Amino acid sequence: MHARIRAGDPEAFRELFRDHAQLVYRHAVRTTGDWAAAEDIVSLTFLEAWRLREKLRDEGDSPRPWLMGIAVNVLRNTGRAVRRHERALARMPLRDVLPDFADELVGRITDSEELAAAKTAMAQLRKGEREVFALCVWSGLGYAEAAEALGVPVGTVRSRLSRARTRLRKLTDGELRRRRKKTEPVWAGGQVQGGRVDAARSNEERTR
Amino acid sequence: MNRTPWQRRREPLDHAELVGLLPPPGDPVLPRDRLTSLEEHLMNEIQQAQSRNAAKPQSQPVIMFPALPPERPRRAGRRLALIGSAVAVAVLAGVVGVVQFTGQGAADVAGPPEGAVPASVVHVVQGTKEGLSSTVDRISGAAEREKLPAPRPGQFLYIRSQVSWLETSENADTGESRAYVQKLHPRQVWLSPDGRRGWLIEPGNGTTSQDGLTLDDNRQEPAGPGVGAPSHDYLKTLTTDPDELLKKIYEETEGQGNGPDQQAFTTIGDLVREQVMPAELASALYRAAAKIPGVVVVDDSVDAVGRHGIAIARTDETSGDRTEWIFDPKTFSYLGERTVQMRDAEGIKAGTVIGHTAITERAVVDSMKEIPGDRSEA
Repeated sequence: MHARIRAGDPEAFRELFRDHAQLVYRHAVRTTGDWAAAEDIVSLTFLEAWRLREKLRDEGDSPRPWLMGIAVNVLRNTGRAVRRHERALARMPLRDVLPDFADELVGRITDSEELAAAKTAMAQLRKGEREVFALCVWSGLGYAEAAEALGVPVGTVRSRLSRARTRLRKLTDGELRRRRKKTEPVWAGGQVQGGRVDAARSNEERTR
Repeated sequence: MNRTPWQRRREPLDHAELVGLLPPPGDPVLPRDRLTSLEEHLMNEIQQAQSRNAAKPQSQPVIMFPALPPERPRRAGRRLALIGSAVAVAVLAGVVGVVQFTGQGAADVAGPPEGAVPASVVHVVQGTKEGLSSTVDRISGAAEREKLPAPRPGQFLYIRSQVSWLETSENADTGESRAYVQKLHPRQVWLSPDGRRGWLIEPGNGTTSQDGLTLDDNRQEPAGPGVGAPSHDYLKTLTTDPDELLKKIYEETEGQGNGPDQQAFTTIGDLVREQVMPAELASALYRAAAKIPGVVVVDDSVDAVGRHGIAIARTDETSGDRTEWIFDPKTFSYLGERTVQMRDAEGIKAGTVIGHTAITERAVVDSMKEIPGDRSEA
């Protein structure tokens, strides 16, 4: 897979997209709270992956950390990237998904409260902590994967998570805690941390 | 948690607690049809990039993202026709290359990216409304007098310039970024009047070879022209009434960029920068620009090759940078453009010049890649 990506094999990119687009999308929605922007981020991430394909190194079993690193970078510069790439985005197919609209809308309304609360909580963290937290806790990357994605040592991932935990503990009860009860069971398929997560896992299984 | 001690050492953090502290919010899922259309979009872009590459064998393997339009950094460019919509993904290459120094190395110190130099910082002269209308009168008058031969079908517009655009360098660990700009380098563009064919030579931006690359619009169904994607032929059809023109620009750019006024200004700037403009239209565009809220005169600016001039400018409220269209102080003909950061933003200090151009030649030539006159330099 790595070699095919580097060689620019279009089918490898199709596979890459099918395996990870949903993951990138979920990550983007959760970190931005913006569904439309998240779609742009998905496209930008994969187009960037195409551009940077030769930089993919033969480390690990899956290109997932590399790809998420690209996504993080796109997210990090979203304001800038969106302005910069507006034209590429303009070529994206318009939304014409009316049949699904009602369903989707209901889902969004349900999610929006959680997203807003999460945003408030995340605001208590520093940027580096937020990135690590979202990658490891929300998107299920292992520490080593997150380290690779962010280009930092594993120790840094741990220390950021530790700081994030300390800060989050200090948050007062209220909206966040109430919400937690509601959503905790959703994340039953918890991640195995510390080692390498089954990296090639497709995200398909998590679509509802 | 019944973990053995060694596991504890490897996993000092209780993951369940982290999830409990702030669970993944929501359950966002991209609907399947949307996923499919995004996938197709990606595959189309890849296919186009490949066919472009196949068309021109190069020694450099990666020219998949060829033309970097001279759109200003950190800003929406509406330059489809100019750069050829062929260059679909080109914008991704980003005039603002974000060079991330993660990966192999540590995230400590990074020098300038290759081919880049630290951005210069200038003393910023404030703009004023005073004298705007008389200045624009003179600029418009000069534009009307400055007639270039209209291109015939089969001929090409030729624009030669010197350009330098922002590249930032970002430390992935700290988020700290430093501003670098490309070294000033020549750029040559050929465009067919109908906007379907073109060629770009700009090796200095690191993405075209010395031979350059095609800007041909190879899409099967090209988008219709508009003010954001004009061909010369299209420009000839536009009204030369400044008010109507401005209305049309606002309508066509609605919802784009950093607000309607800024987007109108940007659109006009894109139109005049790299084009051989019908004289009456150029005149009307400058008059239209003067009507945009926030547009000011800057008494002294300097283009990329050091020519001083008077500028029409507007500060983008969102990004905090001011783009100045610079005109010769005596003849009032267009010289070039400068974009200056007006306030500290995104790691870029106030006064930093983040974009610089100088148009050095506009001409009509008989064939693509033909250099006007006897110049052999290409």
